[in-house]
Amino acid sequence: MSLFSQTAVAINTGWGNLDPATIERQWVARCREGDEAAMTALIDRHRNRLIRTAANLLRDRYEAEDIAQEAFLKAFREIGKLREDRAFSGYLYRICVRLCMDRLRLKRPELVEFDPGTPAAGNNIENKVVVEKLLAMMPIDLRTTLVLREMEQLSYEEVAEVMHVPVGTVRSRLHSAREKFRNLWIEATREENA
Amino acid sequence: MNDIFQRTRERWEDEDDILAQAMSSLRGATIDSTPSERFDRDLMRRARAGRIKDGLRYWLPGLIGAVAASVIVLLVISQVEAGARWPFSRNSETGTARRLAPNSQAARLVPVLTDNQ
Repeated sequence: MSLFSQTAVAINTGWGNLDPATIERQWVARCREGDEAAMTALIDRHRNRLIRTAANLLRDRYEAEDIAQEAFLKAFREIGKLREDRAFSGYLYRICVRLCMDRLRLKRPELVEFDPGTPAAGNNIENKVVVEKLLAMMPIDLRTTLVLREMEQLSYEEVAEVMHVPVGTVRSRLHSAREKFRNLWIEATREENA
Repeated sequence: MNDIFQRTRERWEDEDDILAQAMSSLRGATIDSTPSERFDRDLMRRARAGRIKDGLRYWLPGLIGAVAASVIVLLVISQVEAGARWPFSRNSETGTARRLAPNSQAARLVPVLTDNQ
């Protein structure tokens, strides 16, 4: 969410003087009481990031929206169990990644279909197809670690928190994932050039 | 010796280049997906439906229990009431007479009342 839209939401809710973290805590507290406006505000704040992460993990925009909705619903349903209101963001993100991993486990690699999405600047469809296929060939844990670190630009600590593993595990997984992806990429480009 | 070092270093540099290219292509394949217009509406609809379902799930056992309990209480009351009447009607002639009296003597009793008036 851009700074502009955050400010807009803050003004709309009448909390213009508070910082986003404090506002979010208020939203979470209100959401716990079943306030739909607070719910909408939380959705507005986290929607884009959640859908983007899910889309990069699943490589399917429509499925990503479905998973993002499920993550929100699960988070709202279990919001009462949340000990700290400030932890909502990480909690929501963790649910989303876990749901994506579950969905990936259900999928067989050959059933993964290419979804071109919105082409990024300086990129082409062929590259997306290749990356799509290579990611589908990787183990789910390695794939998730790689996507969260390289595509979502999360820190090691953040990846560890989201995946619920120690930082050392993230480092080793990331090393293996890069190696695996590199080898697959060499093979793919060799086949392409041959 | 220097030649071996040189070649090893070149190979490492090549491998680093390949890794950098692979990672660059991976980052380039990022999907910057924007949510559809229906996303919020669908989500809120699902949230409301979920809340209703959760509410039902919470209250339904209690409601079923209350209905079952009231049915049982009504049955017991009716049984007790019927049970209280039976001994008189079965074992006592007066009881039987009392039960039959309104049907057989109704015609006689009604004129008496009307005569008194």
